[in-house]
Amino acid sequence: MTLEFNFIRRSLVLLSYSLTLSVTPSHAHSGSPLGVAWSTCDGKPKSQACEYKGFHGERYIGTCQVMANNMLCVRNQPIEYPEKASTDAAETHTEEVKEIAEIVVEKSEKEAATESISEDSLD
Amino acid sequence: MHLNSCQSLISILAFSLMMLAGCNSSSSSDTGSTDNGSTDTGSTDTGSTDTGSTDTGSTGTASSAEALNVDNFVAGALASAEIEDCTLSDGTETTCYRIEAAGKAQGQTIGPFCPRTTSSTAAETGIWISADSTAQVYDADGDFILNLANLYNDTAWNGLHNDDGSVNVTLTEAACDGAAQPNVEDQYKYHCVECSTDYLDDGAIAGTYVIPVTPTPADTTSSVAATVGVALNGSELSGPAPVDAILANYTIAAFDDCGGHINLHQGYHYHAATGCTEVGAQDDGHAGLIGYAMDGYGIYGMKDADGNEESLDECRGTTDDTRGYHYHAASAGENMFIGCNHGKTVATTTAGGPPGGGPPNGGPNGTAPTR
Repeated sequence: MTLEFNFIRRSLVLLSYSLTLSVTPSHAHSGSPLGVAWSTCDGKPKSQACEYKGFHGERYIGTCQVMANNMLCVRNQPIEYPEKASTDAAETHTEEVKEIAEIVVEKSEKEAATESISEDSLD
Repeated sequence: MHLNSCQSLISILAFSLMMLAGCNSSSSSDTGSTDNGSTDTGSTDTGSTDTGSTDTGSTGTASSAEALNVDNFVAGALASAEIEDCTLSDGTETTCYRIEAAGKAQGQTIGPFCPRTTSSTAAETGIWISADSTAQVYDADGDFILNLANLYNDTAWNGLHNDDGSVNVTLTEAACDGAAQPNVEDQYKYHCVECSTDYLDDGAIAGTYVIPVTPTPADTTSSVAATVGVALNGSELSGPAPVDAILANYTIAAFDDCGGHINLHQGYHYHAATGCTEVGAQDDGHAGLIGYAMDGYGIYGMKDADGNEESLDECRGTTDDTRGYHYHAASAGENMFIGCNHGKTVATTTAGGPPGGGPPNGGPNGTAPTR
């Protein structure tokens, strides 16, 4: 029974981690919308404040600078991710779930151990 | 008792699944942004060969922390670094390093760049950036080639690959030369453009960079030139790539995963900082040193060891006690390293000679560097 229990416990932990991975935001695509970075400074003087939004709604804030004979919005503030708050919340939630799952597993393991001892004593 | 254990475990499993399903659903809307900075850009240097515009009236003295330190370069990256008299763009007489860089990206494996087939994986290829309002940094793999028509909303992009799954790549020196220029020869349109270091004498194009020994802040900032600076591994840090011009010819000029690519006029050069070039490690958790800008100030990676960025000035620079004034490279997707020159650059006439003439736009569609 101990082997069976360990198998189920490991499966549960693996499942938890697998699902945790599935809620991690993708890093595959990142960057700024180049076209917008140029067009947002059309007709603006050098050093004028500018801002544009990226593919995922992130904000790029900076000033217009001459680049390759054109004006380009040069970001000088950290990229602002609008969904960061919800991402953090999701990660916190996931951690809570993992902790709960581990606590419950530990508790069940103790119960199983107690049961095993009881069964042995009965034998 | 055995049954009770199983029931308990089933309950645990069900509970966990419900909780995790909740997580998954709550995060479905935030799959996006998480850019960690790296993809940058590339550039295919467009043209401008001025070393910046105008810094007038010099003032200010640079701290020793800001002085260019040739010891920071990777062993073998430089052929020589001699100090000589030089004149800055405002007429100031000072001393500069004349750095003869090997241009070989010392310590780095160059490439790969283009996919050979529509089945090529990301590990077998480099990266590329889009240029429309959804511009991103992509692995230039087979799937990317298949998705080009959708990405650019133009079925003509299907011309980059063939029915047998092969991808059109400029695999000869003639093809490289015909495609890596502003006026792409017709036969090389609908190609992924890549060149080999085999086409270059000794596998590289050496570059000469004349950079103030001690940087001096300018009264007014100046625009960066086609050559932004030199990496610690001896290759050029270039200005923004003219991605629009490249795409207009139904070509992509793939970078390798380190953000660089090759043309016959500049050799291997960078348009993006993806992390590979941050070889100058810092003891205090600050981002690593990538290289030096043409005004002599150091260019560091975008984020510190904790993954944080800081607010910068309009040139993407800042000052601290350890490094003095210095720049931070933009993310790979922003098509630039720095925004402008904070300091005075060397007057063009003393800035060192480019290795040879080239088309007006850099690139692979690029210009001979004015360094």
